[in-house]
Amino acid sequence: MSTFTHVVGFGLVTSAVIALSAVALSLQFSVSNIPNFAHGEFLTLGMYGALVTQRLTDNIFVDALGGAAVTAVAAWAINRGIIEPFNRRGAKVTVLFVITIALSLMIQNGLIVFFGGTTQSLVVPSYAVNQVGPFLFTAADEVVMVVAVVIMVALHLVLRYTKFGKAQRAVADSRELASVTGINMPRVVALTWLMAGAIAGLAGVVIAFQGGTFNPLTGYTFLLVTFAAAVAGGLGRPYGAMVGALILGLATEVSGGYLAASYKMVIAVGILVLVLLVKPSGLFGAKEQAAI
Amino acid sequence: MIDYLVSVLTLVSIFAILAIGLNVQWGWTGMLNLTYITFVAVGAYVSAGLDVGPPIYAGQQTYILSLSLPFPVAALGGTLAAGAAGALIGAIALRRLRADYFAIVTLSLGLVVYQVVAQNLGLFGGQVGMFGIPQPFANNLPFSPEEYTFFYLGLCLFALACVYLLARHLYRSPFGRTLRAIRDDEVAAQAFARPVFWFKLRAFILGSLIAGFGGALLAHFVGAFNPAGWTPGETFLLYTAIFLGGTGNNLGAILGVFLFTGVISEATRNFIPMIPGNPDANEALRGVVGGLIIILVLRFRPQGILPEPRDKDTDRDKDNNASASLPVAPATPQLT
Repeated sequence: MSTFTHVVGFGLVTSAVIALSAVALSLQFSVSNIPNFAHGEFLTLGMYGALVTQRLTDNIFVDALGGAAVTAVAAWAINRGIIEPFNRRGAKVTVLFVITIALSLMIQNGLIVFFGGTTQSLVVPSYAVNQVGPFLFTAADEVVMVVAVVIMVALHLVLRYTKFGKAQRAVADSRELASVTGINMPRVVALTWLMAGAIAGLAGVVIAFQGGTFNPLTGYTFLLVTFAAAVAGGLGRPYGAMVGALILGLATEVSGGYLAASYKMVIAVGILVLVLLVKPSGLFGAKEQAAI
Repeated sequence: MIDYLVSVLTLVSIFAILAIGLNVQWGWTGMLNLTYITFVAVGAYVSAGLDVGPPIYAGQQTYILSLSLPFPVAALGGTLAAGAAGALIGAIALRRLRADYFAIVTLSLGLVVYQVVAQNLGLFGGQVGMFGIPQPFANNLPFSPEEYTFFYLGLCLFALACVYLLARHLYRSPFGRTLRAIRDDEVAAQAFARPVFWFKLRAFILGSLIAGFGGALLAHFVGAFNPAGWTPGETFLLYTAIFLGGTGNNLGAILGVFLFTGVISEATRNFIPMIPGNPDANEALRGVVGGLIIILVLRFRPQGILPEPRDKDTDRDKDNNASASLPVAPATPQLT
């Protein structure tokens, strides 16, 4: 098997992981309009949520739900307790962005205080490697990709066919218009934080599950890749984020097959900077403030 | 105890210099540079590279440069190198971007620099970093090691005073006023025919120069410098100091560093008992408190402890004798 198909296989798995993370970031941004710097810590919270749940049960699916639930509640609480009060006072986006930086600092270091800075790992069943088409995947890789696809489809159904999804898209389009049509905006925003938190937490569990080990900084290392995917797809466009994740996953892993592994990050941020400077609305964004 | 106080005060004066540079970028101009510490690192590495000597014994780590130059030349070189890096990164990042996107671009470019430095052993020692950085003037002065720490504290305080006076002068100059105008309303500044990009770029370079100068002092104080010393978290903690002391106010930046770096960080590091089995906890506590301070300050006192002086409409060129003797802040009552 050639190096190329090998790294493309890695790239597909990485894309699935990044897609979960980027969709959560993009969804939350589209509705709340805040670029969330603490998104990486949402991923990490998912990992530690699953770690704590694992003390109760070894069922990895229950652990994953535990991680998602912890992050969902944390995201909801952050919106309710910190972001909302600032919003009510009409804080500028820059101030809210700085708030999320402060939150990132607090959560990351808070986890070090509680759990220590050492590497942790989830107990996962060991899986055999099997061949799928031209690619070699472990069963863990396959689970990760299936989870990602299921979440994407579910999110699509919610956004497209439920009343709540319609309200989310309306708020993302125009807050003023959404408000005057009687949409309970604070509620939609709060539930979106909850939803994005759950997806981000799940993404964190998937990272821990697939990568094997994690520490309080692991989520943070995914922040810029996530931003890169979300921005490449057009920040605030969850569907674009999926495509952006595919681009980022393939670009980093394929380059990683030929360059030193530590330059994967450099490739990712290179894409991020290029897109921001050349086409800040994203590769597919037609308009600056595009809808979901 | 005296040794400890001297070393903390030296660090505080160096970080105060760094905070003033960051204040130029964020406090005066509103540029959220998330990779300020990278410019500190450039100053530290280049200055150290200029005044360390070539390897003495075989197998010793080599660094590029290694020119054995005297400290003032090395410090100047580090400062200018940081300024050049600021010109390069500023020119890329300062394109018409929202403040938050600008912040993400700076963070990304800083990460590229970080990876290149950390992965290339021959450059500045890779992950291990540089050590054996010589003490400035130590060979030419008749001081014992204890006396030397006082000398270096004096040197840093003198440097802080110089940087502060320079910053104060620029703050009141038409240049500083234009920067604040851009911060408060970029469109309005543009409407008054101010070349916004050019002013922002110069402010970015000025902040980077100050960062590089502080970095040179820092590397020569510690005697070693490696990638663990300039993670993005260090930049956030400098922001904490600025928010706490008073955004935009140079004295506030110094006060913030004194309170946060000097008092709060040292307290979490040394006066809170270690948690058994968790050696990282005390260092991490500094980050938790730092984040909490940013949120509390922004929520309850956004202007910080020392608010930025409100400008009167006095033009020093026009009204020379009247305003030159006035104090900086003709304290206006704040209604809000």
